[in-house]
Amino acid sequence: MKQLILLSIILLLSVSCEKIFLGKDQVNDPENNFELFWKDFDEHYGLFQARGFNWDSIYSVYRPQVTQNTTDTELWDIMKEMITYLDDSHVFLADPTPLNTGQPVKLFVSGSEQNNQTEAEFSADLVQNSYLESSTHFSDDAESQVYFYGKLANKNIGYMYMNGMEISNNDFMDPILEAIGQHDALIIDLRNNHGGSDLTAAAMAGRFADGQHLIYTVQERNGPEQSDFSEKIEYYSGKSGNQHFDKPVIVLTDQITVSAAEVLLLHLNSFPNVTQIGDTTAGDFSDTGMRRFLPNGWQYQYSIFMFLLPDGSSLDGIGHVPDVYIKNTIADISNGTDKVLEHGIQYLFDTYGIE
Amino acid sequence: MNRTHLWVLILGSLLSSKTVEAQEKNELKLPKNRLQLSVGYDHAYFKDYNLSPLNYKGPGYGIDFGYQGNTRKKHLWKVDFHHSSSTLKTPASTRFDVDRDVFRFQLGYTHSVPLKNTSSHLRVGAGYRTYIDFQDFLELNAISYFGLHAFELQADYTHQISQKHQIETSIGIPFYGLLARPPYSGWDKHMIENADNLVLNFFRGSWKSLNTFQAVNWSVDYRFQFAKHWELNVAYQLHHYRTSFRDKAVIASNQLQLGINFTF
Repeated sequence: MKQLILLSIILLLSVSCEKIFLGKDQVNDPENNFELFWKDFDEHYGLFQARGFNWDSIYSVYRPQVTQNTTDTELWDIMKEMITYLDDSHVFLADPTPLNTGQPVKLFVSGSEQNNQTEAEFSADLVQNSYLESSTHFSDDAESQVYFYGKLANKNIGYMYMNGMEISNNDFMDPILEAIGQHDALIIDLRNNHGGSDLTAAAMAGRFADGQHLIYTVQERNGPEQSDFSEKIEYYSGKSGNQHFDKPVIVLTDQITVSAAEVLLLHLNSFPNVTQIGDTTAGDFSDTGMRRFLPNGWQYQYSIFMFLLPDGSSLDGIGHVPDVYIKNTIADISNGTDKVLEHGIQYLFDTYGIE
Repeated sequence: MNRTHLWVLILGSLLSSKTVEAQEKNELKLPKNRLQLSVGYDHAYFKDYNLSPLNYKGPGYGIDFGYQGNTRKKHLWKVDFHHSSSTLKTPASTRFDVDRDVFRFQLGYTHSVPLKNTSSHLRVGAGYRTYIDFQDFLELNAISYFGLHAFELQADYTHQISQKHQIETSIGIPFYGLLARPPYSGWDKHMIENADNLVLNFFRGSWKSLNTFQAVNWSVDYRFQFAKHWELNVAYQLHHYRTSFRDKAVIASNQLQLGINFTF
């Protein structure tokens, strides 16, 4: 009898484990996909308050448009419009299904409508070929990294460019400053910079810091209410590394300059010897949350942190407004001219007499 | 659970039925020391809203090292370590596969409870068990974890089926421990800034009890003594963990293990 009971229990567990333990799986229909998507943002997105978004209004507008008969294309367009409202380049929607047939992932990144234009208004090759005497590459060997430094031709000015902010060695600035730190000024070019690690940003800023300042605070969303946030974590500037640079610094920015590159600017803009020239940055400071999944096979991601300045205000959705506004046109780049860089050089001459 | 798994379990049960008449003649054999090494197949059912709203399941493979020590008064000490790796899959997409690693460490002491039947033995006691279940989607694009470091009630029932055949079932029910789960939004600054030491997070938790988590660890071991100091071991294990702390998570792992024991 005992053996029979044991056998029955094992058979029961074997046959129906999934339903017993997990319950029913999510239904893959347009309405459930919409509900999961909207609710997940509602309960986790970190910038509703800081940017004054009304996510309930998004539900009111788009929920009636979704029925059991909504096609994938229609649902994609609806979700795309929902996250377009957030204007946050840390938010994206992706359909990886095309990978199964060798096609690229179908991807929409919020707040990225102008990126192609902005990308075309800058050329790293033009800088290297027309403005630098020579350039030295530095990186963690990731193919996507375009990181280099050098000396501007016929000027006593150092220059460094980074299209990201992701370097595992936090002392990477020391050899760079050993090479170009003897010049009278430095131009840090953060145009087309897609961000990366705030730790890299802080390590880099430490080479320019003039002391300890409270730079910003971070809170993570920690509850279902849009006002639920953890205690503030304070981030300070501070000198770090073996090499420091306290002469004039120009930082070049554009509308792609985002995330950790903006965090670097939070530090640099608090130092008196730094001047920002170019266009307003993206205004997307938060780190992203984890990849999220929908029953229809789509993925998405969103921001979960709120970055605030010491006075409690937020630059999310605003960005760093430059001290001197100037931008290239695509025609400028085609004609071999980088007006933004040239303006930086001129600013150093006009303000400090450096050339 | 696959068919092979089922057939072994059925065979084990039939073996014990066939020899039921001879049970009274088979006095329980408890070696002073038993070292166990086994490898196994794992099939998990998994849902963790921190990671995904979807149901996952998937196969994996594991290894298990154990030691049992029987005292003169038939009390039992045991230590066990287990690791398994698997890939969790969901019907929603072939692009949602999640790597899963499980680590278990168990310490236990169960006290002998005399029974009239000389072929069987019951022991009850307490122990400690660490259970770490870590999931990783595409190299940290999404992660989740269930870490429980808990005190538990344990019971072992051993039955000598015949001279060379023995079956043992054990149960462990954690009741109070350190529960480590991801923060509400999955990441926090501490995790991001210590991404190289994610293991620290498996021990970064709060002390919780049965109101917050429920878990059961159950096993059935069939042993066949094929030489004086050697046994063949076939085991079925069920490990079930659930919590609603921060995000609801439910994990059920079925394991079938084949191993060898050295007794001395």
